[in-house]
Amino acid sequence: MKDKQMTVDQVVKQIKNGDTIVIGGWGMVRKPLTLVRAIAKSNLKDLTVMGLAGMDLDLLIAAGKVKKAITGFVAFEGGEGRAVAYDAARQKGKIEYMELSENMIISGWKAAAERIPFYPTRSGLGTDILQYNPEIKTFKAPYTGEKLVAMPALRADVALIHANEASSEGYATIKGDRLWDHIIMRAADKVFVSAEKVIPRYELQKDMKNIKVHTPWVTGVVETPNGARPGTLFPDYTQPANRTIKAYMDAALDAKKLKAYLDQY
Amino acid sequence: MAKATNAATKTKSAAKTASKKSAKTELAKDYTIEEQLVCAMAREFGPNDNIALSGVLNWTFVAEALAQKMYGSQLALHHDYYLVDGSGCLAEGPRFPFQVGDPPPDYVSCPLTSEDIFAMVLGGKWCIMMQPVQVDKEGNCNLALIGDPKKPDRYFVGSRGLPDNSTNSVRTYFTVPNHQKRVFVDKVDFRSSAGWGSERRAGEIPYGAVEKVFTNLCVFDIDPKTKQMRLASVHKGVTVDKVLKNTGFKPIVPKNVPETAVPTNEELRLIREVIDGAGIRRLDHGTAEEKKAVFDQINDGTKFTQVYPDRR
Repeated sequence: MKDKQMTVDQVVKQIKNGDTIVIGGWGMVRKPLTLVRAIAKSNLKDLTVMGLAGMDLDLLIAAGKVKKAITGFVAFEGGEGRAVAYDAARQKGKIEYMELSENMIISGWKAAAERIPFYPTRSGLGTDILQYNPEIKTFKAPYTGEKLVAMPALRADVALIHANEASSEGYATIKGDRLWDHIIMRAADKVFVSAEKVIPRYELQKDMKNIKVHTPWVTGVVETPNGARPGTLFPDYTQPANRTIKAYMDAALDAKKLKAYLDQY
Repeated sequence: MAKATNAATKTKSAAKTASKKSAKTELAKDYTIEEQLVCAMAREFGPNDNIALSGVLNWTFVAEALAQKMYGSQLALHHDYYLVDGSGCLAEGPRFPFQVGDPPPDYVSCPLTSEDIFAMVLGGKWCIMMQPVQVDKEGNCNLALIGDPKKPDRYFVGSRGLPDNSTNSVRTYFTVPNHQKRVFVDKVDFRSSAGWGSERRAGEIPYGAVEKVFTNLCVFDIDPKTKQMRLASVHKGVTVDKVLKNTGFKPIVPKNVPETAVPTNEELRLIREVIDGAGIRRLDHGTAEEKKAVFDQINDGTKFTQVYPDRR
């Protein structure tokens, strides 16, 4: 089978200016932060970043990489911290944004994953999400006449997800909650999986029930030990590195300090 | 919409049939506002209800435990410990730092994935109770931001799962620990949840309506005629005037506003001796100093990991 293993730099090289990137994980949980830091240090710009976001999106905004954010929420859930760069960017009107609910963004990914233009849902009815995002339309169900939201497909150029272990062929284990990564990887043209360890497939096979990433979806596999730090990865490290998160927050709004932070981590 | 068994009615009729008032249904003489509030919240739930809590209000944990013990409510989820270590959400009886009671003996602990959880929201399996940033007279709530949504003064976390819960869950409840004008506003800065606005009044949103709002002063419900927030009851020692002075909109005020239901001795015994011996229900309102005093008094050095043992 094809060897899909690559380096962090090779992953970054496959991303283009203006790309839409969807990032797996949830808040501070199992986020591919080594890959995110590499993007923050790169020359990439004008990215659209989607996700159930935490420090991943915030760091990319702080580093000036983000043109538009599409989010179900922005919170450092699972760690101690606050999305300072997102908050500041929204206050100053510095980025474009599409703030959805959790199920609305997931519905958009589901539509993209199934190559259909929208996904029907009740989520969003009666809220200001529809008012501030007029591109999201409602429709009457053809069978019952019920009013539903037609959540538009949210397709990405690139998906980044983090796994426990992977094989170079493009299989990977997720030992905790797979969250929505199985949908996310079907909603992107290129999928890069970072893993704590890249191991031979016969080793990976021993943990068969946790293999939740499958090779047809995967473009590249990259080994990044502690790749979700300072967030958490079950069961490898389940306590957030709150001091590192605090160091980030202190640096986020100051270009010099942020550079020093990125140089250190 | 199916309403849960009304525990208050149950208690009343039980009292009628008994020749002598038993200790179980006897109304308590000495109780605090927190205890009154916990009982009022718990009485909303019956044996067919699953309760999901979002946020960190301790009195909702106690209310949830009381609902399980007295009214047989089923699954209980705590969103604040949700996914913290990435292993999935732990579904089990209420257990939290400083907690002294055990989960019900028939309770099964198991991890739930995000997908399991949203399946329950979308499939209409649970009632949600959470703490909003703002609530308005239509029962809309805001969790997202403060100020102009295009350039907010402060961005919180976004609307999260509230647009999903308020259009799909069985019932929605809010709880507010510090009843004040900046929480209860005429119109929320951003509608994160679908209250009783034009869409719901037109019958376009069949599920997830807000039923009640529990605060440290009173209980609001929804006036069946106008579909606006109505002052349902005030807690012990709280006047209607005090509620109105601290509310930024004009709620519907009936001629006679009753006191919030008085706890029974049995409810109090469960709260004080079985569920919350430590008294975490006192942690939610008051000044920062008052809270810290309670916290120091409660904290026996118990660590989170001791309460939630290793799940691997």
